Amino acid sequence: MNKELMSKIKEELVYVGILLVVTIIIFKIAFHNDNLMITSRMALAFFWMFVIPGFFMMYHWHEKLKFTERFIIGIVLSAAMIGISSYYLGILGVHIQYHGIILPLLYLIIGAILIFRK
Amino acid sequence: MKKINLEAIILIIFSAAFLWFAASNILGNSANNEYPIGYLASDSFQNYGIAEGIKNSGNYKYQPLSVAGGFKDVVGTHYPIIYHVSGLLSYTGNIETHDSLMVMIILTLLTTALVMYLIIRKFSKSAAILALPLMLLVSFGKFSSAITWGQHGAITGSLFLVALLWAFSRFELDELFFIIIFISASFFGHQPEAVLGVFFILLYFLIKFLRKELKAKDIKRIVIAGVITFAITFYYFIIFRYAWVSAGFSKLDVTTVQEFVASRAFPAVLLLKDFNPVVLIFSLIGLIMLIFLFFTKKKTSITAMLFLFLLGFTNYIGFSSRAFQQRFLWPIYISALFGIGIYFILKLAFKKSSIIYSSALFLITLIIFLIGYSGDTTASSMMDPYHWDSFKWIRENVNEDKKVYFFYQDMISQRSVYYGSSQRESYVLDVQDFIGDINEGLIKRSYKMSLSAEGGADLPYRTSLFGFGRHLPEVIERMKDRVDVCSMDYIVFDKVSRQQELANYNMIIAVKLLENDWIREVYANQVVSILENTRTGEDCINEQGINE
Repeated sequence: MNKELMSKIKEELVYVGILLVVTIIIFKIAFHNDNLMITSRMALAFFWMFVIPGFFMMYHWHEKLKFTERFIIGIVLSAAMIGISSYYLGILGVHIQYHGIILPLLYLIIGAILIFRK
Repeated sequence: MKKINLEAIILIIFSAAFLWFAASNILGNSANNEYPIGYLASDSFQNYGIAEGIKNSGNYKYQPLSVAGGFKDVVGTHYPIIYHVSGLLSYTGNIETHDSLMVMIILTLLTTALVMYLIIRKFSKSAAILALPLMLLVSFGKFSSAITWGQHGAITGSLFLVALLWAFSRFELDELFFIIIFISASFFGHQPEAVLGVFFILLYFLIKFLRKELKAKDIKRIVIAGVITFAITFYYFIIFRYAWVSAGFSKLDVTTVQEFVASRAFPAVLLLKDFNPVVLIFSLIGLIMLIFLFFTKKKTSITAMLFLFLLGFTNYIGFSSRAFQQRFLWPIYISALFGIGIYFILKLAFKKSSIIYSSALFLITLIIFLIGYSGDTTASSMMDPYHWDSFKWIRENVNEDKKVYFFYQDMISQRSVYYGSSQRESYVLDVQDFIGDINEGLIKRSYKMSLSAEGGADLPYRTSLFGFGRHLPEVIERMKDRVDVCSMDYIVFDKVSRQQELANYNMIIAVKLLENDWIREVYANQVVSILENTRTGEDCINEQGINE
C-alpha cells in the first residue's frame, strides 16, 4: 500500500472520529427526551452498520471522489449492501440478530482488502 | 493553518437541523417510546408487523405468521430492505422495532437529501447549499404523510433511485459497480423505484442517441450491468414477478389527481400549491434555467434533477399511485429548482457567486424555515398506551397457534394494526354488520369477521421454483359465514369508544360470555378487556335480546 494513501487514511480516520462524536451529539439533540446511553448506542449502531463499511469500500474511488462525497455515498452503499446481504443471509438460515456483527465486519474486511490491493 | 471546511460545517448544521426537525415532528424527540409514535395509518403497522416478524423469525423467506393470516407457507413478498435494516438497528441499537423503523425512515430521508445535494453540487456548490433548507419540509405536515402513513418502501426505493442518478451524474457509464448496486437495492427497496431507475437509463440512452454520442461500448456496458443486476435480484425477482405482477400490480393506469383522490384511500396527494408561493417563484426560475441548460450544457446532473421533479407527474403517463408516492419527496426534489433559482438571482445581484454568500443565505433561510415550521411537536399516533399494552400482553402470553378475535374498537377498520401489533393470527369485526346486530336489539352467537392479514398479493405460496398458488380464495370462502363466538380462542373487547354505544354492546357480549366458568378475563385495563375461552366449540351463549 502506498504511503500517500496510508497518510490519507490516517488523516481521514481522524475526520471520521470527529464525525462520530458529532453524530452522537446530533442524535442527543434530535432525541433529547432519551438519555445519553440510548442515543449514543443508537448513533454507534448507525455508524457501525451504515457508515464504516461503506466508507472503507469507497476508498476504491479515493482518487476520483473527495472525502465528503465518499462519506455520503458510503452510507447509501452500506445500506444497499447490508440490506441485500441481510435478506439473503437470513434466507440461508443465519438469524438476523447476528447480521449486525457479521455483515459490517465482512464489508470492513472487503474494504481493507481493496485498500491493501491499491 | 488548515482552511476551515465551510461546506462540511454547513452539512453538519443541515444534518442536525434535519434530524431534530424530523424527530420532533414524527417521534416527539424520542427513539424510546412506550408505544408506536408516528403511526397514523394501517400501512405503517403493516411495515412494523413485518419488521417485527422478521426480527423474531430471523429471516424473510416466509411472511411472518401473523402477517400471513396464520398460513406458514406464504412467501415474503414485500420490499425487504427497510425491514432488515430496521431489525438490525433494533438489535444493535437496543431500541424497539416500532422506533427503529421510524428512525431508519428519517435517516433514509436525510441520506436522500444529502445525495440530492451531491447531484445539485455537480451543477453548482452554491446552488446546492441554497437548496438544503427546503429539504427539511419532507418531514413536516402534509409532506410527512409518506412517513406517518407508511409509504416506507417508496422512501427506501427513492434513496437508491437518487443514488443511481448520482452515479450517472458523477461517472456516466464509467463505474458500473454503482449502477448495479443501486438499481439492485432500489429493487429490494421498492420495485416501482427500480422501474423508474430503468426508465431513467432508457432516457439517458435516448438523449445520448439524439445527441449522437451513443457508442457501442455504452450498450455493452449497460447490458453487462443488467445481467449482473438480474443475477443479484433473481431470487426476489421471481417472487415479485409471480406474486405482484401476476396480481395486476404492474398495470399502467393514467389517472388525474381528482380521479385518484376520489377513487381510493391514500395519504394526502401533494400539489404544487402546497408550497409557499415564494418557494414556487424561485423554483419556477430554477426550472426555466434548468430547461434552458438542458439544451445547452449536456450535463447528466441537469437531466437527473429535471427527471426527479417530473416523476411526480408520471400519473399522466400511467404510473398512477407511484407518481403520487414520488410527490412526497418533492421537498427534496424541488429543492434543486429552488436552490438554482436563488443562485441565479444571487448571480445577477453579485455577479460573482461565492460559497460565503450562499452559506450566509443558507443559514438565514434555515432559520426562517425552522421558525416558520417549528412549534410544539406534532408527533402523534393512532395507537395509545392502553391498546398497546393489550397487544403486548397478547404477544407475550398467547401461544402462536391460537387465534385472536377483536370486537369493536375505534381503529378496527385499520386492519394491519391487528396482525402487526399482536403478532398473532387476528380477526377483526365487520362494523356494518355489528351495527346491524345492535339495531336488531339482539345479542348473537355469531358475528361477521374478517381475517386481518396482508392480502395485497393474495397470500401467495410456492408450488415450484416458478409456480405459485394463492390462499386468498380459501380465506374468502372460510370468512363468508359469520364466526361462532364460542369457537374463538381469545376475544378482545373495548370498554370505551368515541361511539360509546358500540363499546357498551361489546361489554354486554363480554358479560354474557363470562357467565361460563370456562371463559375468563385474562387481561384488563381501563380500555381493553381480553377473554380466554378454554373450551372452544362448547355452547357458551344463546341468541337473546339485549335486555334479557
